[in-house]
Amino acid sequence: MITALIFAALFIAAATFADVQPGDTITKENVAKAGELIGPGLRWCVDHGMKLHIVAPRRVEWPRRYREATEKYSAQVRLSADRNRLENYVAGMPFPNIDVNDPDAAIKIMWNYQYKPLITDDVLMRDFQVPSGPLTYTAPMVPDREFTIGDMRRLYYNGRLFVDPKPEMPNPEGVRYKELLAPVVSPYDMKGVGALYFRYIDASRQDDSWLYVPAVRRVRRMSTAQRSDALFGQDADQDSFWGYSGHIAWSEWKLLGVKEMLGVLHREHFRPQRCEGGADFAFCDNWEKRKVYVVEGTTKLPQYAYGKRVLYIDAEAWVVLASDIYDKRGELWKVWIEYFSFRKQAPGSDLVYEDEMGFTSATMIDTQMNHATVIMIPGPASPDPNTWYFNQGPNARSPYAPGNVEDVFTISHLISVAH
Amino acid sequence: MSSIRRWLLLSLVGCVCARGSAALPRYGPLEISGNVSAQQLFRTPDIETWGLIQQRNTVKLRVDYNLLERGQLANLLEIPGIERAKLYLFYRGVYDSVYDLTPGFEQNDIYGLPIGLRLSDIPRKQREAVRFENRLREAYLDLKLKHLPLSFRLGRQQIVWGETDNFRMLDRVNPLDFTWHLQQETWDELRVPLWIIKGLWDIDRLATLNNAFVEFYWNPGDWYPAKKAFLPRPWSAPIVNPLDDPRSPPDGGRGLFQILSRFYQRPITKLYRGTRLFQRGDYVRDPGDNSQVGVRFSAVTGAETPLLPEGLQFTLNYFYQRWPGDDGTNSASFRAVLDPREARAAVQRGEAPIEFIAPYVHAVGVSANYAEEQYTQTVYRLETIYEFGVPFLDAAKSYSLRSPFAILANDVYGVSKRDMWKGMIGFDRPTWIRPLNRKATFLILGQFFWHYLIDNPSIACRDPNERPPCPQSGQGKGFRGQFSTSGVATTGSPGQLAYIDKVRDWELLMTLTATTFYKGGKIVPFLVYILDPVNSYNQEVMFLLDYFITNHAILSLSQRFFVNTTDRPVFEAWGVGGLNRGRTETGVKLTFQF
Repeated sequence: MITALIFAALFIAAATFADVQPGDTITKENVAKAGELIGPGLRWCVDHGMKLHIVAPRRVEWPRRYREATEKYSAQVRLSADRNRLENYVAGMPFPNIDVNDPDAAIKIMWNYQYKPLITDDVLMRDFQVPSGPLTYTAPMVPDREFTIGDMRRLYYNGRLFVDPKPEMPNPEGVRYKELLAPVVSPYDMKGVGALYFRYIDASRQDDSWLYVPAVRRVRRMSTAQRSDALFGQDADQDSFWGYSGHIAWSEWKLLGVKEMLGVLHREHFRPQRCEGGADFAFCDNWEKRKVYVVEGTTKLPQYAYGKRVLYIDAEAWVVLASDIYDKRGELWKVWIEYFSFRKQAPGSDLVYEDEMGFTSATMIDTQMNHATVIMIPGPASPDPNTWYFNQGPNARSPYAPGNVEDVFTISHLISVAH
Repeated sequence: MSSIRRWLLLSLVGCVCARGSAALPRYGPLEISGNVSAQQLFRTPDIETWGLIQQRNTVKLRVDYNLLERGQLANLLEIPGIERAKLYLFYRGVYDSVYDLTPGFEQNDIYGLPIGLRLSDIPRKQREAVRFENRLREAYLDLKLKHLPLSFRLGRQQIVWGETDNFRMLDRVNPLDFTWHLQQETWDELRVPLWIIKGLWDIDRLATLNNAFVEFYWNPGDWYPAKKAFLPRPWSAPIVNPLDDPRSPPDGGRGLFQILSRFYQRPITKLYRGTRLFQRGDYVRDPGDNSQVGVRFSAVTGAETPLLPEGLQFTLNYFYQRWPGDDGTNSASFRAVLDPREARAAVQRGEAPIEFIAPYVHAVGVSANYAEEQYTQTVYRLETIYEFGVPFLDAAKSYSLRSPFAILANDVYGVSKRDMWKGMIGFDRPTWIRPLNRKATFLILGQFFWHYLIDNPSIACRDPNERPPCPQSGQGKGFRGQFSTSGVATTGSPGQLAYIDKVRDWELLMTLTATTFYKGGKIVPFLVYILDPVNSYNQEVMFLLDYFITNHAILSLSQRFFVNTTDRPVFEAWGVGGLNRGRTETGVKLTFQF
């Protein structure tokens, strides 16, 4: 008993004194130094060669309009009785003051994440590359599949702050957002594939999804159950984008804690730099200590791929820094890591924002299959500096669509753009 | 050089070319992509016999070019009225070396009997015509108008409407090329692209509906019937040409041209009025005589839409086009010219009194899909169509036994038209089968098809006391399928039908497909099972596997079994296990894509 207490005390002490300082580089040799600043997924990545360069933390400011909307409207927002709906929500953050002792703290954090400041109106990510391949940890990944995506667009219908109509678009269907991923530019066997997703405000209504399949030359209806399926067989699934893109109502949420953890909010390299050698399943960049809500979501859907997700949500930026994803047996299966670069302007771009926006790239690692998918926005081969458009509405143009306007997010546009 | 060595050399050349190729980049608004592939198919009619029937080398090249963005050509010249314009070109070049190598194997017909012909028996000119394809398959311009929600696709293209996978109902704009191998290839390869003007009017919200649009097309005369061939072409209708039997008597010479030539003591080598079987009817390929049109309205139901659940996507369709004869209907492709004077005049001109036909048919249809997430997590699909005036061979309309054309009385008939109701219900369900794959779901797709022929007359012989196939008295009444020709449906003496190809009231078919991903999408297997419960339960089983060696190189393996459960011929019209009896095939394909 005494021995056990001594070991426990030593463990607590080690955890307590584990800390990192700006200038440190965390590797598998000194990973213990990071202690509880990293979750099991990130620890797995470091154990397999990823390096974390520690820098001093910097603030992430909310966009002014978002801050003002939060001040104006948040007091009136209530959770519905089933907690799957917001009442009286207009714009901004619904629950800016989280009390960790509140039994609804977890679901309120998730609603804040849902209406996060990062994107309120619309977003376009262009021309990004997604290599996917097996991991040896000793040599660079040889991709067995590599996709180039033309556009990924999302248009929000409520909580809008920048582009008219505000704060809500004409919305008889009760849409939260519509998303268009189209077209896949390469490889040739996938060329022309496109997907369209509708997410609804009403939690009782499942998403509507359509996929244009060039091989059959028509749009196929998709089941929501496929959102957790790895897209085209690689590692990333639709629900893991941005750290979590599923509906709040699809999981039971539990707040595991609030603590300091490491995250990437201010990437040094705008074009993401993969780690060297066998660790190129991740980007090696600047990590900083952040206040993080650790939230666990256990799925309610019978056909869902995963048993649960643990989301590490930044308490200031309200973005998911990383997500540990577990299988139905409770074993770590996949790790999703976001690498943000909050800034007002992309290098070389003529687009300057009045607030800092979160340009990001991501990696997803299947720890059980030793396989990874790397999402690079912009892709290394992309010649265009304008690959990101936040809240630009009709100005978010690309060769595939005239902007983030309503008639781009339609089945007819999917048919015309994805062929 | 032996055939095998030449074949190996050709395959090797294909591989070397593939290794040496580099991925093509994009150049600003220009995207170039494509692939090079070599496909080998081996047929095993029985356990002891195998033969190479295809060594198809294919180059595909696709060009996407953004001509116009934001109404400007090359960011310089303002084009009035047009917001976007994109040019799409798709080239396919093919060389199939089996028509040069003519490897030695002899095919069986639908009766399972050797036809006595090999690939080398195809006349050299015909082989030269089919061994190469060099075609700009698709070439069209996408135009989006500036101030109207209207866009156009102008040019040679494919149009696919409906919900079915690899069966035809609403997918009927482009005819199929059955000479390209129905089972081996995707329909994207089989459809014959046509010059078409297609428009799309984007409505979006309409009353309680959303995502509404109207799509319409006009084919100004560039239309062909479905392309079909006969033995000894390796993937053809499983009979020798019923008009012009390439074999000599006593086994051959049973083509209708030969029968008529012998009977009338003059060469008869053409069909009536210059029509050509599976090529052209009695019409001119111009807008006035050969136009095809179609329109569909598509929308998604909203919460207030009466009678229908929210989120149901549906289409309403109308077509007015020539009958292509490629949807599994046992319809008529040709008709007897029953007017004695016209028939005699035809014979005088060296024409058989038989006309290839492709009449205009009206068709209306509905398709719908709905994702039911609460209980079944399944996407349900529906497609149904009603066709007005489908042509059928009618034994009641035959030559009199006392007429000079009595010799054709059991071979060709006049045509009667009937309406048909066809449909499909299907489902798509992502399903976890964790013992087989812990990492990804299996997508399971099922389809159930029906064809119903309205007012199908019963079958009878001329002598009511005799039973079909009426060897004594001849055909009396009722509809007959296209295998009811004495030159075809017999294993005995010419002129006597041994079998009759009945046209049934109901035809049914079921398909079940399962696919998943292994190794992060590196291995993609497909399993397909098709059952025809009406025609002696004939079946087809396919196993396909794509292995991505790299992102650019794909090895595809395939195995197909065609199961005929009887030792008799099965005259099913779907093109499944009955027609393809003895065509069990193993395929190996290597593709390099860029």
